Amino acid sequence: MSLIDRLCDARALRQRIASSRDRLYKVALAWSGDAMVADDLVQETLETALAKVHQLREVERLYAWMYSIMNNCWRHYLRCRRPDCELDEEQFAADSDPEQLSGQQEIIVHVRTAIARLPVGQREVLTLVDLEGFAYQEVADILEIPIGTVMSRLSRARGFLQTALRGLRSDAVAGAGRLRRVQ
Amino acid sequence: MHDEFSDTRLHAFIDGQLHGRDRERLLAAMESDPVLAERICALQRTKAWVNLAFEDARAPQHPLPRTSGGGRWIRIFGLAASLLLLASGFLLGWLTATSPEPLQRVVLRDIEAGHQKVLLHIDRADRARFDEILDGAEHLLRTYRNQGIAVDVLANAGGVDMLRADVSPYAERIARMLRDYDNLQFVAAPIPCSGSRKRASRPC
Repeated sequence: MSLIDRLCDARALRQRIASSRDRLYKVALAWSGDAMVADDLVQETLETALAKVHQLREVERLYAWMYSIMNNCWRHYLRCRRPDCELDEEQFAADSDPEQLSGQQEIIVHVRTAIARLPVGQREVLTLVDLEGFAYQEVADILEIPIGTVMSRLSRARGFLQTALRGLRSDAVAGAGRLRRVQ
Repeated sequence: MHDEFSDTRLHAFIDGQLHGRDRERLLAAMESDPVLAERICALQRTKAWVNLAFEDARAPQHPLPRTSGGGRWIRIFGLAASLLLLASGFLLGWLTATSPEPLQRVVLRDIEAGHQKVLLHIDRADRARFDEILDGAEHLLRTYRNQGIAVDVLANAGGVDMLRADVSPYAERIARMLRDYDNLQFVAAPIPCSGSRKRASRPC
């Protein structure tokens, strides 16, 4: 491969990193439940990735590598924030009252609230699989846990969500599509 | 009802992680087992809820630091260019060693306070920062020329290198500025960095 090709590849790689802000943000928001924390996590991840891009050996693993960086930033944040709390037991309280909302927004708040109530470990696995579509082995590599743990956490997380969202199916969805007459 | 399909296997199926014969068997079983089909449907619904909840989440946009692209090759070229520059500098220095010309008006003393004095401080050999300082000094001196303003550019620690005639890339510009503005002086200060910061933060 010529030098020019290599330089073009490096430039394209940096552009891919810079343009992955939104996809990282969704997962960061699901992990933290806080827009500002998610914003900080993503910015720190992008800056670290750009600074260390020369360390990336397999370009096809770019996003898994970036999520590993974000996981490190997230762990650091949790250690600083609640040093004595077991990470797997960490929970976040909902900051909105779903009853004040309606329709589509209500569904989103309900689901996000339910996800926020999951232990951190389950939340991480669930969002990497569902939002990013990573394979179980990739999730295990990103989070540095055994693949069996990935599967069991995923199973528990979905079991909890199925129960938590059961009431949502009829009420909220019906409300989301309802038309109202305006005087 | 097919009890041989565990929850873990069903999760693997909806996540596209079940392959080959296992996948075929599960698909076939779903056709004849409505309970199994409902379990899978419920899991897929949950997965869809999660996606829906973050579908419209958009990150605020912030600038990212500009770092040198090109990775290893750029660094190799950078190193080669640095070596070439170093060799050129060495050669130039050797050729001009017989007639060194230090900056005449760089003084080594403490800052004096004055009513219209502005103090600009540099404590590291940072060219971008020093460019800003020189631009700022010129702007002030031009804009407030008639108000009797005086500008002191204070350098300490690594910032002193910016004033040294033998290493500073700004020797020419500094000499020109000193010719153009009577109320400008460059000061190499023998005070520690923290002290200078405190002093610079006080209004003169």
